[in-house]
Amino acid sequence: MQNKEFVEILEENKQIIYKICRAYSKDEWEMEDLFQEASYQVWKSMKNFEGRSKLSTWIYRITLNVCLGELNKSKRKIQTTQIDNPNIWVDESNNDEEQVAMLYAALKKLSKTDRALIMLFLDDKSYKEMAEILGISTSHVGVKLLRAKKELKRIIDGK
Amino acid sequence: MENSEQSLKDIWKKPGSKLELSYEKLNKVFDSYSNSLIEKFRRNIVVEHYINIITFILISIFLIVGEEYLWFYLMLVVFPPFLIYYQITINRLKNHETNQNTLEYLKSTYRLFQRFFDHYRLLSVLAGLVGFFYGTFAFWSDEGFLSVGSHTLGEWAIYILSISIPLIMIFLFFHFYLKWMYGDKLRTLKQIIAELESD
Repeated sequence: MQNKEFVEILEENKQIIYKICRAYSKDEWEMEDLFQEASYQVWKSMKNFEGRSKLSTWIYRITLNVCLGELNKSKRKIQTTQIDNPNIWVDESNNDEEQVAMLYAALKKLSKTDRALIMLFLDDKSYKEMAEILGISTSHVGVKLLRAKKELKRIIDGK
Repeated sequence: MENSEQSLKDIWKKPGSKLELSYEKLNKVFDSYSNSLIEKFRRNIVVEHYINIITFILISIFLIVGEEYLWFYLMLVVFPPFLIYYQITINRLKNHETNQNTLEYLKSTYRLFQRFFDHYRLLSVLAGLVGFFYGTFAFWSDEGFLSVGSHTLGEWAIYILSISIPLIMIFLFFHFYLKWMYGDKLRTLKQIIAELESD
């Protein structure tokens, strides 16, 4: 795959990667590490994409795997980014950042699996897609999602 | 409930709505390599593999020049399976795919962590065994390797302790070092797998 082609794919799916990485990182450094690692893994795995699922679902799965598999790095490990500017992205939107930050703070209080389910739900993924990404049955998704929603509501309500 | 869920979805869709990738930095992704722990394990083992190959060649030359053919033949028997084992381990780590479903991915990551642990446990035992046999040979070689019966029980005890204590220490060092380095990670993985598998 050409780099240019990959960049286009990444451009279309950057928000998916960004949001998952943000939900699983403690700080901006870790978020950038995860973003880079997820981007690298998507790039490396492109040859294995068979088109059996949507590309966005497939990227979702890889990013989630990277974030869950690489949790809690104790120190910065990416050598490719200069230390003076930690951001691989430039976020121009500051609107509603407070609300967004509160949502992420609530998400981070959930268990890692509940967090994944809620993110999939917020991204309007169907039960089938959730099951496909997580590797569990659709009935399991239903039960777990209901529980995760209740937990999120409890956190937001401050109970 | 429906309304609050919808408002959460609306908030969720806000972040990075004007997100722009920095292409200059993104280009570095193409020139970089993975920094996942599994990839780090693989790189460590590749380095060990090369060291083993170089050691094998050097010792072979040393034995041939010294006309120690018996030891050389022994090396030829012992070393190739060792090198094959390394190659298989490297291949398993290399073939670790991130595009599996999450449960399968986490399970295979967990298995590879355990394999990495077992690798160093095995190495510490092997190092101990090599030390034991080499020590035994050096200790009694002057009097004849098989004349061990002529030694007292005290001499035996000192010898066994001098070999077994370092062996146990090496084993414990690897065990606790790996636990300290990766124990939390392994526990977290196990917990996520259990959460996904639970009803």
